[in-house]
Amino acid sequence: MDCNGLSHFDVARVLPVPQNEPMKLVLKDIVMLVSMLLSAVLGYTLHPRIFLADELPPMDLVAMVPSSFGEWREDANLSAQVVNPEQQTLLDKIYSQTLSRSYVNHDGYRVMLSIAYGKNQTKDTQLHKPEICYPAQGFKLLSQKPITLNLLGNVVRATRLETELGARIEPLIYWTVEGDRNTTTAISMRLAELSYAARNRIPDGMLVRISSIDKATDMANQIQRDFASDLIAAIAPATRRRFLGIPTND
Amino acid sequence: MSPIPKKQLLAWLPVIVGLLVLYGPSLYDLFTGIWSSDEQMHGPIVLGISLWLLYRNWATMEVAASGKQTSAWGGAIFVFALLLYAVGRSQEILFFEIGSSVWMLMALLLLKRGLSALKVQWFALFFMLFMVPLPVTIVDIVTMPMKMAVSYAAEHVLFWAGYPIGRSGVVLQIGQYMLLVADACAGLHTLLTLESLGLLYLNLVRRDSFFRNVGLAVLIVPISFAANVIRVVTLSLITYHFGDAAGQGFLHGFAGIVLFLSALLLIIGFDSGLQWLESLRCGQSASSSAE
Repeated sequence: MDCNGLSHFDVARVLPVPQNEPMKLVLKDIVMLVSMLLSAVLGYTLHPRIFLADELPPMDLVAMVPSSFGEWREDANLSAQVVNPEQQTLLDKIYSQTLSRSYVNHDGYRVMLSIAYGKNQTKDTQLHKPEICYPAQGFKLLSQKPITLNLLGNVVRATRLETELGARIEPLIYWTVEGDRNTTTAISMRLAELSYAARNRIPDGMLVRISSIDKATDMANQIQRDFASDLIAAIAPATRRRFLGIPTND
Repeated sequence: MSPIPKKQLLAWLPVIVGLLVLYGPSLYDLFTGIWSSDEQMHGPIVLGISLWLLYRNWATMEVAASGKQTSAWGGAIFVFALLLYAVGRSQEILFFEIGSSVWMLMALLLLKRGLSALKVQWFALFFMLFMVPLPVTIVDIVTMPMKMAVSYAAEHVLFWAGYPIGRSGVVLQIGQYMLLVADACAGLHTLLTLESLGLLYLNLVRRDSFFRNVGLAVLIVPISFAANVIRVVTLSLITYHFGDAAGQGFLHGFAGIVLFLSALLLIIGFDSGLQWLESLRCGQSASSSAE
């Protein structure tokens, strides 16, 4: 000790582990390790694994959504031109199915319908909301407000947006469905996911968007509301609830 | 020589095993998931630097912690971190799952070595916060105004330079080319990457001056913004002069390097500026006290 020039005090500084209580330390370490392992097990077992969509009849948007209903007929030539403000690669990654159609009525008024369906509503594959992806693709967001739609007696909470790209004014309405719920905010979506997770289920999700290129936005909104009612009425009653977010126990 | 002796390593073994069981799968998911995307490239870099900082300060920490009491607060934080992890991991909330690792390390230091050890390692743990993926909602909310502002500034810079440029929202039109300012070009993640870069610079340079540290930490925000504008301007000019293919090809990567280099140069430049200001101020006070 003395040859090294180290005092007793210095040795204590180099060895901070108190040598007189090894048992207590080991016990503490074991408790810590066991708790950590327990938490890892919890994280693994509480993870939902069953897709809600797998317990329901398969979703087939093309077959479920008629190409003509009420006063509306699909304009096949124009359907290809429905602008999706997101790149196709991203759409394919997020959604299991997408449907884009352009409908025209006897007055020649055009309405664009876009339905995106995702089987897996978890972090990376969540629905992308129009108020985020329209501006991301260069559109200006002129206004945004929550609205309620009355579709065949069902109250659906939706959002009304007005967007602009150069000379193109595109008002739209959209609503989202997660599992059997009509969710609106990011928080309500997360809560819906959590309540499904408690039942070991992963919910599916759908976004229905109805838009038209029209400067008279209030009139466009009324037409879009009527279109939504006609659309829902034309969908088979058995699958209708999945487009609206009506709980199955109703 | 390693600052961590073998004997100590054995004492930490249960904790290391626990950490590996908890965060091994998380890291695997990160590396095969979001960390492999362009936007979150900074994640693994931040993790690496944090671990290196922890390791570098380990010996200092042991000296500081010797003979000191461990802290009971560690237990509470430990339980909190475990709950956060279980919820985050099972519900795929990365903000909780990865965020819990910072709380966990904090708790472990408190439980094993006490508060004085945590004081030595605080920066490494704080730095780790930058690798925690933020909720998509928050990223989306912050990203859009930033993209608008960057597009706006880039438009004006190019307009003053006499280029034929127009802008609609986040779409720039230069000559016959349309450029869309994407998330990766002006996003929150770039800001975070640059902010972490700046903080690391501050920590490594180890200024004693409070004025310079705080000044620079605040200035990093406008610096990141300026660097992003420089990047978008560079990309616009590449596209305008060399065509669309060049703008989207290897030169796109080059613009990314421009971003980091300009940010670094700006940080060093501002730091020197602050140093000069400080010397001016100190010189004045010295001369005034002499009078």
